[in-house]
Amino acid sequence: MFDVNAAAMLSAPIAVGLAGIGPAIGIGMMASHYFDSVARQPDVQGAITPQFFITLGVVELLGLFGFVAFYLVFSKIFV
Amino acid sequence: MDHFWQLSFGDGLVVNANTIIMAWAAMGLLLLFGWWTTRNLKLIPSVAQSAGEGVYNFCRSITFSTGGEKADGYLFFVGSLFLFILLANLMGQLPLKLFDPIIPTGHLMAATGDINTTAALAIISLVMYIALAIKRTGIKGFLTHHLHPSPLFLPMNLLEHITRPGSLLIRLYFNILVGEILSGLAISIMPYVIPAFVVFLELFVAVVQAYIFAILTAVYIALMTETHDEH
Repeated sequence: MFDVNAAAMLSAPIAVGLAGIGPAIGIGMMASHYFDSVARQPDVQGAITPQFFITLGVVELLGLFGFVAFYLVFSKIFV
Repeated sequence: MDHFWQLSFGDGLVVNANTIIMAWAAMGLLLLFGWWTTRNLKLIPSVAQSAGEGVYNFCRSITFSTGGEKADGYLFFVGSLFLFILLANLMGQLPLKLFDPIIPTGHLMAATGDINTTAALAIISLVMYIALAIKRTGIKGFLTHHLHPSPLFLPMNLLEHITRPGSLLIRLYFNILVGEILSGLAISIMPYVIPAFVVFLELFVAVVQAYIFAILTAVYIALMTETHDEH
């Protein structure tokens, strides 16, 4: 017995979880290197903070694609 | 989404009244702030003028960090984009249940939690960086920019005009939407303590997203308006 709705409801949270792995690792590495470099050379903080946030935005977008899949599936089921 | 309060006119024309109310409220607050801070400018600033100068300096730091002195020409655009998105994001966290008799279900959601608003903002930023590129480097410079590293990159350079505004709109829309859904979930779990943490997280997200949108727009403009004989 295969229930399509149940499979779809299972797939949506899995998509969010799997999509979160990569950006989580990426943002973690990015932030750790950011803190390392600021601790080593506090002068550069003003120069690299904007770059940090640009990269944060770019990396974070990848995590949101999982939520896009979640949203598409759930708006199909519950509408 | 039951957060949306939609009005239908005739066939096919649907107006998201929620978004319109919140966007116009944000614009009105910004106008009020501008009027209040620039009412009587003096050499020794009053409290209001100092607040306005602080906001101006922060907006200038966004464009200055990406484009330097040349970036002052589009500071007005990036700054107003930043302030509008910031205010619209933050207003989503207000517990605006006051309008309950007017709005049947849910609470007033942030204006940027609607894909129409973020798409409009992204399209404005696309048009603005193309227009500024044509203004600063000329039609020829703008067209040859697409062939820049090598003519092989032409398809990718053309695709960038779709992916740049597309990523801007998806990033802002889904970040705010996730926040709204998360706070709705937290309220439904336990309406007293748990939503406070979510609201704190969302205040942080609101500021970061506004900053990212503005700084990415500034970066795109700086990339498009640079002339290639400089490097």
